[in-house]
Amino acid sequence: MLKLIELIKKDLTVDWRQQNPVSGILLYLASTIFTSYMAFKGLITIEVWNALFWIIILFTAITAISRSFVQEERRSIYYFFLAKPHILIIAKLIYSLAYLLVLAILALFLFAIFFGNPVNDYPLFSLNLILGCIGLSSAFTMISAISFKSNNRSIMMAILGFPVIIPVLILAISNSAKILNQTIWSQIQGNMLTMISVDVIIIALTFILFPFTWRS
Amino acid sequence: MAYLLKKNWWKWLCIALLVYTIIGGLLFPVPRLPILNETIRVLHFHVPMWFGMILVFTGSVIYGIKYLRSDNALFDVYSSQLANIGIAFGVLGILTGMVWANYTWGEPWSNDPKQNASAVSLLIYLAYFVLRNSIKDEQQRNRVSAVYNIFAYSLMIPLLFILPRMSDSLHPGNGGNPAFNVYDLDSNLRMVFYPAVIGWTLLGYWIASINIRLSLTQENLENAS
Amino acid sequence: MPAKLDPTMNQLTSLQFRLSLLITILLSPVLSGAQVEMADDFRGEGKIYVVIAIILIILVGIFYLLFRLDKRSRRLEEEVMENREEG
Repeated sequence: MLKLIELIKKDLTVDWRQQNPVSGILLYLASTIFTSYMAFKGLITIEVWNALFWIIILFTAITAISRSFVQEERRSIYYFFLAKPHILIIAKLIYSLAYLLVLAILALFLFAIFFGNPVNDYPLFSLNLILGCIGLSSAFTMISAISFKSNNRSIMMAILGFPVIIPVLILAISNSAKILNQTIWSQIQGNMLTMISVDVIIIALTFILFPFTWRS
Repeated sequence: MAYLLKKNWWKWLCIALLVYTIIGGLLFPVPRLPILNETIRVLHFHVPMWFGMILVFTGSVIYGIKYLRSDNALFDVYSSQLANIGIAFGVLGILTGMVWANYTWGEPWSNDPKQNASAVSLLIYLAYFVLRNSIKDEQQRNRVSAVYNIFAYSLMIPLLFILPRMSDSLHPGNGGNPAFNVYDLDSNLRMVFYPAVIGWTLLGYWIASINIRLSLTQENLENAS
Repeated sequence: MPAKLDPTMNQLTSLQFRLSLLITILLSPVLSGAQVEMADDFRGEGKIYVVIAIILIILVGIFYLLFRLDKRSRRLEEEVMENREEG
């Protein structure tokens, strides 16, 4: 438990100290939103808003999380002795989820400025956002652990990641479209439960499979 | 698979089932349904490609799990060669599906959730081979690709079975198309359809077994020299 | 008299009506089925057997090739194994 907190803290301090990647991803987020604002001016309906929002979350997630193992390259041998892979992956999952949630809230804020804010039902919308972010962040953490071993990581990340993430993404987009159109809970209950189970599957698989990629 | 590599009887079973599929599939009476007309017989040739693909990929994942548990390179050969055949089945399924869809639905690609899901599962396994090619160290390659195989397959299953139910599908049973679900499949169709699935799947395993033997031989040669 | 006959007449007509209704209901799947266009002529002329024969010949040919490939790969495997044991 202590090690877990230590590892999370370490990720945080590394990111703060370098600052480069963090400010880079913030700029990435701002510039993609601004670009799509220029491109989609006057075309924004609730459905377009929703799809655009999730697409930008998707690309931000893949860019932000793809680094999560790359930075460990030099230190990986050191960690091998320091912590068990199970603890390491839990720390990574928590950290990348928190990271992605902060980015998602920022994205929502920027969207509200540029495109207006169609969200009425904040509890439901944020529940859906959190579930979507759990799926995205954990799947991409696992994929980044896999692509870490390959030659060209950035391309592998996209090739391996996109097909895998589609179930989560489709569920999240259709749910949030329904929520923005003021649906009551009972109409999206089934989809929410499916999404929770997909999230659980992703996390369980990551937990079981990660040690195998780490062992060598 | 080790058993299948040694024995021959299942190949004869495969031949018998496929011959039966051709004769029965073309001759037996079929339900007369609008839109589909005579093309309903494609059921015995197009749909088994998908069932075969899933069954072959399932075999691939089982050997992926076995590999991770034992670190035996033999299982990696089984797993990757089965995935290879699965991709072939998937491509054939997509092509035959597009021809059939062009006739019945009016266009080869109509954004149908099952079509999309099958395209995604093909992408997953194509990515699997790109991943395999991008890692030099053999043990690392085997392990990482087995991990990806298991991870992606487990996420493909919800995609194939849950998502088509969420939105309107053109596939049987949804959206005004005549229904012949597995549950209310006409008994005449069923008499040919299930043997057809088994027959085509066995054909896939047959070709995979030849590929496996060849790549094992190749490995042996490389080790000897 | 007509008043006495009437009920039987009525019964008869209603029976006829019911029978005809029953027959239409029973036949309806056949009747409506016949409207769906199938390759019945093609089948009736017996040409379907030609198609089946051709597909079967191709299938048998492919199976023959597969069996030969099977045998060759097996022989190759044995040879390599023997060479390995010798060397």
